[in-house]
Amino acid sequence: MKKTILIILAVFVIIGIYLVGSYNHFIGMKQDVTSKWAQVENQLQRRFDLVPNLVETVKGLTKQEQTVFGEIADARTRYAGAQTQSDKVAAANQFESSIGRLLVITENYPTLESSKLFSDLMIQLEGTENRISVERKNYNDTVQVYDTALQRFPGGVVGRMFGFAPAEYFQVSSEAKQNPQVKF
Amino acid sequence: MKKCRQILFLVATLFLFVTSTISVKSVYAYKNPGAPTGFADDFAGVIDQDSEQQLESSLTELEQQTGVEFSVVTVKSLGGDTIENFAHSLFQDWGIGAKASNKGLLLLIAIKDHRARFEVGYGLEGTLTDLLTSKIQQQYMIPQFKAGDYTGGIKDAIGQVVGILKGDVSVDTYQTPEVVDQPVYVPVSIWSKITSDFFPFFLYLIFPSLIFFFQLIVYSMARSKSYWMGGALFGGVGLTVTELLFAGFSNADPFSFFKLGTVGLVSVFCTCLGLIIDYRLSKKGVTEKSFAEFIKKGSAQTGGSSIGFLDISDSTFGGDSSSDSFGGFGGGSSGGGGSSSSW
Repeated sequence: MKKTILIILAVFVIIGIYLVGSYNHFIGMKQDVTSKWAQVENQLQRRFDLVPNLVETVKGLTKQEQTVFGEIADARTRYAGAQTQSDKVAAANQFESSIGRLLVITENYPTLESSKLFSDLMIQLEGTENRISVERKNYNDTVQVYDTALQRFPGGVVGRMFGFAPAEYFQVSSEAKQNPQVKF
Repeated sequence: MKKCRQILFLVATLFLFVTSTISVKSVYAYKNPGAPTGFADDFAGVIDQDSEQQLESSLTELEQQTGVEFSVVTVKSLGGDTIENFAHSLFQDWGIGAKASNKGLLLLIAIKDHRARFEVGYGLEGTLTDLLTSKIQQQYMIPQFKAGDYTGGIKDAIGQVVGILKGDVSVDTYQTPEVVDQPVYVPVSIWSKITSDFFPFFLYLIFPSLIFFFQLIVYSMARSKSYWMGGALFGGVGLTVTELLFAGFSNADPFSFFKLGTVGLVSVFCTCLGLIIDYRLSKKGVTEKSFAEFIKKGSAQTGGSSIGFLDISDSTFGGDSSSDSFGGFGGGSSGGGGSSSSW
């Protein structure tokens, strides 16, 4: 009799320890995903702050290209007003593709390419793009770890029981996949 | 008696090993060129011996004075990868810069690809902006590289950077009006730090207690006259552990032949093992006194061993410290800051 109680007790304690451990593990992973996303936003913001300077430099010479300036401004406003993460991703991707288009346009203006201010801005833009891609990869890697853990058995069952929802990947839109290239 | 304790310890160790090795690692097109042997690593063989030694000593001095770990690496080829990805991956692999300050810097030069890059750690992004690193490359490195003088270009560029980091060279000479403020790196939140620090602690806690309960079970097995219970218990444990193993290691089909076969075999093996142990234990019989002694010995042994086991993973964080003066890098990170150039 005593033996049975002992065994049942042992089983419950082990299950209890396992549940607490799993819960804390999921909290840690979720927190990691959040902090990595903050890093992504940080770098996206850096780009949003940088591009108006670039636009100012380019505007004087390329007056006839109004549509692309409109697109850039529009994507910026959309990002500022975005509430959810997927809205932010969509706005950032739109922004990225309009920058790409702007850069294609600037190739037609040799005077721009030789401008010192313009090339300085381009170096900064390139650096920012690279930072974004690094942080985006970091974020996606963390999401992968977290989402995989949520789908695994038996940990995932515990995670879903505690109400952990899978996180979304930051997917790059196909047209924005091409990074702007700087040529000297 | 002794045997069964050893078996229990083996099971616990196996479990610990399994939980500590489960990790997801993504694959890059990048291939690690090797372990760092110093601050200057000339894998491509373009820097002459004397200059490499000079570089090494000036970079060591820089590290001692400012705490900045500046790694200079030449490789023959990037193997089809972009220099940005290669530099970032190498930076992370080696962990250049102290872990807390992230003051690390990497100058990577790919000879055949004609590409070079400064990769700047998080902690130096404010000092060495992308623009600044680009200008240093354009003014002090690329002209020499174009003429085929790799040693000269590397020396000049490093001289500039070292001067800036030590405060000898004024950044103003580059006339770089920064348009954007550098964003501040958001460190990992305290809470996630606590939970990640808590995890090993959790292992310390859970394994001694797990082992304790195993021992309790074994004890009750021994007290009982029946043999079947040990078999059932061990079979159950075997089934659970293999099931967990598969859940941890693969995302494969949960009903694959291989998996079912393995789980079945292990379960049968464990059941037999449990039956034998229970049989032997029940035959011998255990008294209260010998049980207390058994617990005491068992937890002392397992406790000590599991601490030693966990220490192994701690020592892997630092670089390899086998070379005489170079103590390895500190485990710093970069966020893709810096700039690339080509010649």
